[in-house]
Amino acid sequence: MKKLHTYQDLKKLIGSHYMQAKTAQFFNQKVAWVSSGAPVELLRPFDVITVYPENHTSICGAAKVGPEYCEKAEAEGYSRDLCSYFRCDRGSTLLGTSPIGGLPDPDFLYGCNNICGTILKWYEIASRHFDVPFLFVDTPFVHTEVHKHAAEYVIEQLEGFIPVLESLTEREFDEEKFVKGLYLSKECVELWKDVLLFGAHKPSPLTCFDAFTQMAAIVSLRGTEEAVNHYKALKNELHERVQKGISAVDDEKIRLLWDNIPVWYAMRSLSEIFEEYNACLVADTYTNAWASANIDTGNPMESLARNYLEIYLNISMDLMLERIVNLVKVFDVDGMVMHSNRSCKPYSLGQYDLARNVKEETGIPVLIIEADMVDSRSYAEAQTKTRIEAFLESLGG
Amino acid sequence: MENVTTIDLQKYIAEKKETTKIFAHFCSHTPEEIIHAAGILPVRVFGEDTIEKASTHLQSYCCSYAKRVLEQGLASEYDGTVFVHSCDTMQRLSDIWAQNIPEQFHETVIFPIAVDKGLNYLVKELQRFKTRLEEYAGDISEDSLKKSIQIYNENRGLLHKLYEKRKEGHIPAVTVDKIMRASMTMVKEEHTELLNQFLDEVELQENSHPRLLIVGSVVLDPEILDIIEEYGSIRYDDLCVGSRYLEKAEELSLKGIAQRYQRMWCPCRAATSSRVDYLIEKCKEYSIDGAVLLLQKFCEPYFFEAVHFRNQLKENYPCLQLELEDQPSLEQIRTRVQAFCEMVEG
Repeated sequence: MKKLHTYQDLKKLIGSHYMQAKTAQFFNQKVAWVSSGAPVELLRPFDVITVYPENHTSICGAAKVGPEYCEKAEAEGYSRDLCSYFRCDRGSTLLGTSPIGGLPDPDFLYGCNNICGTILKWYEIASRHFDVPFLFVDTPFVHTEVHKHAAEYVIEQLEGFIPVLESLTEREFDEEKFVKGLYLSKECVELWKDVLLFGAHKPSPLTCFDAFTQMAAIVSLRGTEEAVNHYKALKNELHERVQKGISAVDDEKIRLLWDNIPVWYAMRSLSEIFEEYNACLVADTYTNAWASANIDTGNPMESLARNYLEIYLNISMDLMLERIVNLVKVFDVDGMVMHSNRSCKPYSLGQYDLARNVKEETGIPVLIIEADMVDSRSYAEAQTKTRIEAFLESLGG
Repeated sequence: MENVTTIDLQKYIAEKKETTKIFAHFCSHTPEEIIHAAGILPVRVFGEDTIEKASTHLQSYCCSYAKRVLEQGLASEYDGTVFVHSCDTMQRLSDIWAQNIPEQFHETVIFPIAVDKGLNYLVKELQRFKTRLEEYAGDISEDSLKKSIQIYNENRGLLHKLYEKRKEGHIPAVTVDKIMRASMTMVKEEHTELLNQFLDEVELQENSHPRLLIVGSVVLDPEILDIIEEYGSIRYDDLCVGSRYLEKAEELSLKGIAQRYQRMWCPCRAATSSRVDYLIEKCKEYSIDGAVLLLQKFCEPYFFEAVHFRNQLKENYPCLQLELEDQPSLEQIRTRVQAFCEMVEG
């Protein structure tokens, strides 16, 4: 895999972010654990340091400590069938460590069920463990459209959190700062979208494995200057690659779309299999989930609510299909690889039908592989490799 | 007339189908009163015992309830289906169902998860559901909704009496399960009549086995209840197809229906801690000696709370956790229940 030199900048950015989180108390700042789909922009005006257990556990997964941490949670009584992000996080908490030295203890938790019901259970457990408040944002699932009463319900909750946040952080809510953060967030999201759109270029200067790594900032640092600056630099690098004719995969012959959360511990081995067949995963449904934001400055709270209601995992399979078909067209892919991820039911259940629908609507073939995002004990490497190879051969690789 | 515990529900549904529209549903949170007021019979689906076709739609790591009900749906003809938002699995099943099963009406009522904050939202969501239903079945007057709520309240009041009796004596859990299933299947007024008759005639049994609480969603294989009662006496349950259904609507309106859900403690909703406190209260009220958790493999909401639940209960109430697979091993369950009950008896 050709590494983007911006990768080093990202490592520094995320490293210093975690460092800042660990020293927050010296700067009179509060640390919040935040779920990836939570409307974090509400926290920005309060100078809260936000850390993302999901990002942290993906780091643990990539560092291959997943099984060890998961076992720790299982020893406490948690079923091995529960989400491995949760088990890994729980294990890290119990062990008090991780490849980055563990997450700093939270002053409060801020989670939203627009990605799964798991967040609720996970954060309730963390809330009891650390004896800290849990600010839970309930975002009703979207079947066909966002209903007015659902948007109002979310707005009411967000507005209700303002006095709570004021007291938790001992800071006043500054509306101007809030709107500024929304703009930064929107700018960041648009830059991220531009970055991902480079995958539509033939040959593509990036693969979804790059996107999986680079997404750390859009998840963790959305609404900050640093994230905006980082993605500007990344965009420049990709532009440069295109100018110079550098492709992510040599002699790109097959273009593919990836579905679901990455198999974090198998990123390298998977990318090597695809490279061997000159196949490039040019886009994915996962990182594209952070690539839309409509901010109406006249109505900041409502646009925030609506954006977070409509995120990818909070919509019906019909709406998911629309987005997939659009990606197939925009990125002009020859096939799709779906990761059936036993840890993530909202993402994975329905894939069998989605695969059939994608085939029907676009004519591209779909391969489904069984794995888990962090717990490598549920991954049959050799078998998966054989299946991917057969798929790529059928695509003419 | 048949007895409430012996009635053949499949046959009953088949006969009703001749004259009545039937909607399938899956959850004790389904606003059945509104469906009833529209002149439609809401029938709770319990699923097929064997799974074939459903496996082409759902992965192996999906719970057996979802697989079993989908299997049944693929083989049945309902006029419509009503899902409610509970867990991630049932939410996705709603889409899979709609794509694969032809039906005239399909709706998911998106319940709030933060029940404390979500009352106003839920009232409006119930209103949206009612409007959708009216487009299909015609207007539902305020009076007919009131009447339906009263009919449901009456039935739930009787079910409550049934549970009260369990404080005093033993009623086989499998009998209670049959009554609950019938209540969620039959035309309410007809069930009420049979239930009244049952309550008049029931003779409470002497039973010296440990008094047990069972916790779970729906016991898909009721023979498990019989196995448990070879060694224990189930006096209270925390099941969807059980005590969670007993709550009445105090106000005869959509708001009343919505408020009812605020008193129903489902692990899919927020506040596990309060749920456990509530169950500890019930243990005291029903003089429980021990708790048996009947958890369906891959059921996230229950497995998440089980650890906290056991930790909170264990000082006063020993707990046995049974993980139920697609085809549970009954012998293994028997052995574990026997050992557990012997331990509880000391």
